[in-house]
Amino acid sequence: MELQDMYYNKSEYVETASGNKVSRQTVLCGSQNIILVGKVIVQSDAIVRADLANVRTGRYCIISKNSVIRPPYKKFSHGVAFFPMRIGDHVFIGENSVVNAADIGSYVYIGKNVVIGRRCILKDCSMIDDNTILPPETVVPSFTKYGGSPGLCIGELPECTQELMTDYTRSYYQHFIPSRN
Amino acid sequence: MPAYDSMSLISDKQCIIIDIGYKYTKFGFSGESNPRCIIPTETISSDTGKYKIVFNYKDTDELYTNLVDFIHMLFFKYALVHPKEKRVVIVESLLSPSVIRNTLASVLFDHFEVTSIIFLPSHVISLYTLGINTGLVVDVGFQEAIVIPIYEGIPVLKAWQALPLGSKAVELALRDRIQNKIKLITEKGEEVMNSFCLFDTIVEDIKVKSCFVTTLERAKLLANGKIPKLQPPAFRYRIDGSTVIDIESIDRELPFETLFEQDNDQMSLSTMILDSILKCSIDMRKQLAENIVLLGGTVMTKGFKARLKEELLSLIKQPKYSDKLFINVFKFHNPPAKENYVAWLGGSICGATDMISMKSLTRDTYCEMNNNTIPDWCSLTNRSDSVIQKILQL
Amino acid sequence: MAHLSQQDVLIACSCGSLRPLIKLYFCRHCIVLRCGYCVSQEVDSIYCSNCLENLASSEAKLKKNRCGACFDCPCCFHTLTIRATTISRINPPVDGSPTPSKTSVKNYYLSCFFCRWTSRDAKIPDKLTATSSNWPEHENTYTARISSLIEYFKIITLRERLEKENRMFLHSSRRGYQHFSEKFGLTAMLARKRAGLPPLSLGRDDTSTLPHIAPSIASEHVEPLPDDVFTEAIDIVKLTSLPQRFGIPDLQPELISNLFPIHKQLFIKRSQRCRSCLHNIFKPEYGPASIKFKLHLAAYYYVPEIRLMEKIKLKRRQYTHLMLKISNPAQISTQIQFLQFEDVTDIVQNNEVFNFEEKKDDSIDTKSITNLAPIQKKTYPLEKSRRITFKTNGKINLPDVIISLPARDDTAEYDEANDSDMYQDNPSVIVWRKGNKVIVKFSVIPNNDVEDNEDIKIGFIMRYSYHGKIISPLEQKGNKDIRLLDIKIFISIRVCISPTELLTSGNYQIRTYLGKLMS
Repeated sequence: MELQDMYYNKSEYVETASGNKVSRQTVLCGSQNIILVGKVIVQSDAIVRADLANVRTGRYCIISKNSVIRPPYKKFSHGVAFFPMRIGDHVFIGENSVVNAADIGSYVYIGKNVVIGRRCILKDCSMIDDNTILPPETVVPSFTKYGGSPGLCIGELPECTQELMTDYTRSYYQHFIPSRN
Repeated sequence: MPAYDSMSLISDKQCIIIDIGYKYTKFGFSGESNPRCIIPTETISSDTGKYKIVFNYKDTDELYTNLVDFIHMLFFKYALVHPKEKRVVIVESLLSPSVIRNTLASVLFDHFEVTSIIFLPSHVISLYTLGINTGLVVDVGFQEAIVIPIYEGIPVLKAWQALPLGSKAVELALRDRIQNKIKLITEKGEEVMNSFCLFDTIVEDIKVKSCFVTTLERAKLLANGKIPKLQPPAFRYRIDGSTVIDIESIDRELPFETLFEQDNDQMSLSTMILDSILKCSIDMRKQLAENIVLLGGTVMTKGFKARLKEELLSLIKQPKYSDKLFINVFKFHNPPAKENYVAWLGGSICGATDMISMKSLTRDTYCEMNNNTIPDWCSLTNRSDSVIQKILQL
Repeated sequence: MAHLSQQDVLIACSCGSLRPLIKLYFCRHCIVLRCGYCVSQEVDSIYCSNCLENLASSEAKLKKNRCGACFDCPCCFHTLTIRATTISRINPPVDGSPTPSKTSVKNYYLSCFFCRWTSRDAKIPDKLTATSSNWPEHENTYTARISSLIEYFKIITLRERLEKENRMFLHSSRRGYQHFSEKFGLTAMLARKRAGLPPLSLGRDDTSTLPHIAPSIASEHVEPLPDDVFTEAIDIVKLTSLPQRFGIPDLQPELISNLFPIHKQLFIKRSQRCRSCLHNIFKPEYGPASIKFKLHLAAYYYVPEIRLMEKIKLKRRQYTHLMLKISNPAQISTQIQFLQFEDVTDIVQNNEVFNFEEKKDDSIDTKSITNLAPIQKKTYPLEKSRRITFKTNGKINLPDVIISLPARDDTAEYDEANDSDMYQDNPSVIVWRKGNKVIVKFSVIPNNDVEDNEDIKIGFIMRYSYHGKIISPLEQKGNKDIRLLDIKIFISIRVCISPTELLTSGNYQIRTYLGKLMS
């Protein structure tokens, strides 16, 4: 099924030169540490805690409503240090998700209401099912689908996942258009 | 050259041993002392994305597809080998339906292209784990309980007994008892939920953790409606954050009674054993009664073996059996494995021997067979031998 | 999420099973579609999902398909991590120094971040080094007994085999010196020696030491029902569930305190091979972290993709417009045509016959092959193809045009030119065109006997031109061959039929959609 058009209030979103569409209703802490490479959509009520560490996303990423992007930390004997967070290209992060992962590869699909624990590593072309809880320090290998609580491998992805995710995020971006009024 | 063929080096190749039960499948490699994995016999249906039991099928095509999916998962998720050059040993019950055997053979040969298959009867090879030749094998699984006496390595087929007394019956009884005891905890208090879909896994979990087989005297009291003084403590089983089930003492003791209470034909698990012994000839009976082998997951319940022994000893005194069977001693074996994979272990032991190369059905022979049906146990013609003889005559 | 598991547009594979396009492969040599059922799968590489380390297959066999370094929590099956605590120990004073010295020692233990199970719960002592190869393993107590049983049965079956041969040789008419040299010849002796078997004794009646095994002794004593069942309150949290027990099949402990950490199961990467032509269809790269492929012949790259544009409401006894978006993924332009099933009964093309009955491939006559080429491998009959079980309950009106779609061009997305002028499109059929994509309008009517809330299923054949180079040493390279391939498409529309709907509502949807596209 082809994606339907999604309308947004033009005054609510800021569109930058490189094509990023960021909602004004988001909480972007430490916005100087956020790097959005291009054509990234950050929908309303999202929270990006770049004040803790750098957050870098790739192209055509979609951060849906109410999601939380928070860089992970590691406890040392003399305190706590935050790691920079890297998100690859063509990543879709679903609504209400809390992402603490250290490293998200490209072409990753994260569903709704997902909690990704700290220092998780999601390799390219993986998928996290809706309502999953990924405990800390989980490694999700490529072409696998994780789900459940705790997140365990529940299936495999078809080999053309890279193409599918590219297509999906591109068409999502194209269908995300300002409403007429 | 036939001589060299038969004296070939015994290779180190491991073959794959699969014991597919209705509920759980035991899977592993030959020569090992325990299966690699015990997994539920379920696959994900491609239409709905939900789990479904492999043996719930409407027609042969669906069974074929289910078996393909299931065995694919076994090979590529657990065995991590390519099925093509492997020998497979299937441990199956002597009473398994032919359609399942034939479909399984077709799946393995046509789809997965294995080298050879051998079907081993679970009742016979479980005696291999004990090193004995004679025994009365009682297999209590999920769907049914089967009793077959084996004498000197040969199953006495005329004395077979089978009843649908397995875990399925127990879980059904338990489900009936607890269906209306599910409560939802809210801020106002507790209220009974009338419509809650109680999954099979929850019922199974309650059964495994809390139910047990009670003693004979207590069973008699309960059957008469009296409640014994000492009762197992009741408890609360939590399904999720707000749903609980209050399990009463009676619910812990009574579900397993379905296996032992006599139905309209006055048959139960214990009468099955005695009937089976009765059907054997007189010289076998004492030896069989002193070599009872219990298999199957249901047998691992607390108190099962003790109760079975009590029942047998009390039944033998009743008029139905007292003038026909003159046995007063029942002895049970302790296999070197947990009872739910004893049959698998027998397959593993056989798989490590030369029997595999001697008696397997190879792919060549299967393709030459016209109607693709595996010869049955009772069939007197042994096809593989005849093929070898043909080659020898050339 | 739904896009990754599309189930509304299904395509019939050459073996008869219905799959979405993303799960199909395209064999370039047979020029047919293949699905997961009709390719043979092979294990390409084995790796651990946690440490992403590749293992050789022999090593994996040795380690029983488990990673040596990574463990799973026996409670929740999440991966365990090694954590350290520092304990400072006060050493007794060494000769010469009056004050005791303190040494801080790191103790390592396994811990699960999800359910908080630690190796200390299993009473495994903490280790002093962080290497994960020294964690204690549990042993199956019956291993010795089972090995002796296996040895015993091996010897018995060997004897049986020798007896059988003796009998066969007795009955066979071939006698003479040849028989003796085969049985007791030098080469046979060497072979037996190499195998480590005892040398064959020369006597016929071999009653030397029979193998002996202590049979299991049955006893009257059975485990009684433990009394604490009645006295002790049950603590449901401390008992293991069945999946937890099956994680350690040989122990199957009943209490959580008896659970042991489990080595992590390894994952594999698969490669696929067409069964009939034995060429590789899909081959991934070696490393577990790489997503590139050495060979990737997915149908997604060769077959034009059909997608439903939007949800529609169907009406009884009326035609409703259905928009399908077709995109050409190939590097060469293609022509597409639509046909009903009835128009195309038995098409013979490229050596395969597409029909709806079950077809059994004729088994190749092995004798004739072996006579001609004795070195040739024996071939087996292919698997039976399946029947297509998709009952259509609607009818679709197909437009009678040939639609040409240009090649896929990734740079075209930046090009704003409207190229509908280049093609003379019938606007009632082709609603929209851009680059290699086109939206075509069809009309669908459900059958009269369809109930409300039932999915409407329709099917048709899409014929498109496939341009491929035949790889054959005889023909010149660069010789392109244009073939017409028929793909059977089955669409299920999940809608509810409302019998009373205005006729104009369907047209309204089309107009607003076009309006959005034009702006």
